[in-house]
Amino acid sequence: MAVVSGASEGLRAAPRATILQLRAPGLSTSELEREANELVNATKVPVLVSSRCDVALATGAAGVNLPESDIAAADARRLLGKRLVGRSVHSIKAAQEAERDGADFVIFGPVWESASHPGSPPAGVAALELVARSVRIPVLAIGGVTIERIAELRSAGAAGYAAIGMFK
Amino acid sequence: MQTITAADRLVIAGVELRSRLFVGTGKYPTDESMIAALEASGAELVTVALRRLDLDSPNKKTILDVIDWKRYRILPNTAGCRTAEEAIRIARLARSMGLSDWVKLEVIPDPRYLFPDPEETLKAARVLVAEGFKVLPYINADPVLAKKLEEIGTVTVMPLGSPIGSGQGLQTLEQIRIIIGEARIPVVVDAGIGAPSDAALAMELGADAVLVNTAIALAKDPVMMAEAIRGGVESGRKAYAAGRIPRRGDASPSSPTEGISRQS
Repeated sequence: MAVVSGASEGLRAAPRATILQLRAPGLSTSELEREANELVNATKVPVLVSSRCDVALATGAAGVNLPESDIAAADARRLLGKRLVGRSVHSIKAAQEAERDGADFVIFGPVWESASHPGSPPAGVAALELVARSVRIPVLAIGGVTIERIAELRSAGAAGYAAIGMFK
Repeated sequence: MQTITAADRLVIAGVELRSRLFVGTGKYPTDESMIAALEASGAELVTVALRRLDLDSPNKKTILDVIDWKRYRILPNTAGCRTAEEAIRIARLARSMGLSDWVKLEVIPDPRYLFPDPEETLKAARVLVAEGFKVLPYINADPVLAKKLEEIGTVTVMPLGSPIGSGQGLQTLEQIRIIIGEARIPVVVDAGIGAPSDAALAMELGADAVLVNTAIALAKDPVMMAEAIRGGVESGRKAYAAGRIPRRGDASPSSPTEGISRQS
């Protein structure tokens, strides 16, 4: 999963990603709608919109990814029906809660030190493994993911990874 | 005052509306005058420009906070959209935000006369109807376009009487008459109504409703004008239901001439 901040960045990442997450908390609703609309129409790779169910619905995006502090996955599910609902989590408890609430997957991290979130202490591969074991839904690793680390996160039980820098 | 009776109901997209006067929310000198005028108009359906809503600041007061939406039904409109694509996208956003699946479709590229673009309007209406929107398109008073929109599934047509805000009344009267005669969906005369007499005339022709904004909002006394136009709409509708006499070329005495003793 490539986490991108706009349509053009998304289009550059799309050939190397299986799914895109548009995350642009600084944009206004209409700006975000414009970026999402452009991205959804320009690529066949599924697009998730971070946090905004309304923009995901309006633009025909594949779904949303909810930050941990956002609305419950169950509420997003009610709005989105069969579209994808993912949740970013930072603990086993939050991962299990997301699974119970009907989330399709969780993103756990930061596993390693991350250039995009310099203040957050890394949780480590062991924590990733515990989270991956605690739920049945796919767990994506985020935070400091590099090509060299993919094998390691896989063997920890992650179904995949999300990244910003790797796709730039 | 009872506006509708069991025998004379206005139903749009399965929803029965209590008033045949629809009102807009633009151009009022103050929020207070708008609220009082809405109340005086007796209207249920109130149209709001989506582009005027600040969708980004949930804490900022907008028209959505000023009006008591338990008492009115919102009709989002796409005013300010110049192409089908813009109108479609803003309607989708409004619906996905939970505002309404009704949309007053306005696609207006021309800033001078504010005439709606028939081609883009038809294009947008096709897409929105297919997506389940209840579409109320604002159109020039073109009977062919009105029929096409009806055929693709819009829930009304809204032909203009004269340019928006012009207060010129029903300059398109003969085409509106044809549209009303041919339509199987409600016809709402929108734009150009300047006074109660214009509203009454539209209703006498058989329009199902009228939409008025500027004539009320910019009147010296918006509340009194709202009442007056409400009266015009109700009178016009009653006159339509009562059956107007045909126009004739010669006179017909009001007093009977038979059985009266001849003057000597």
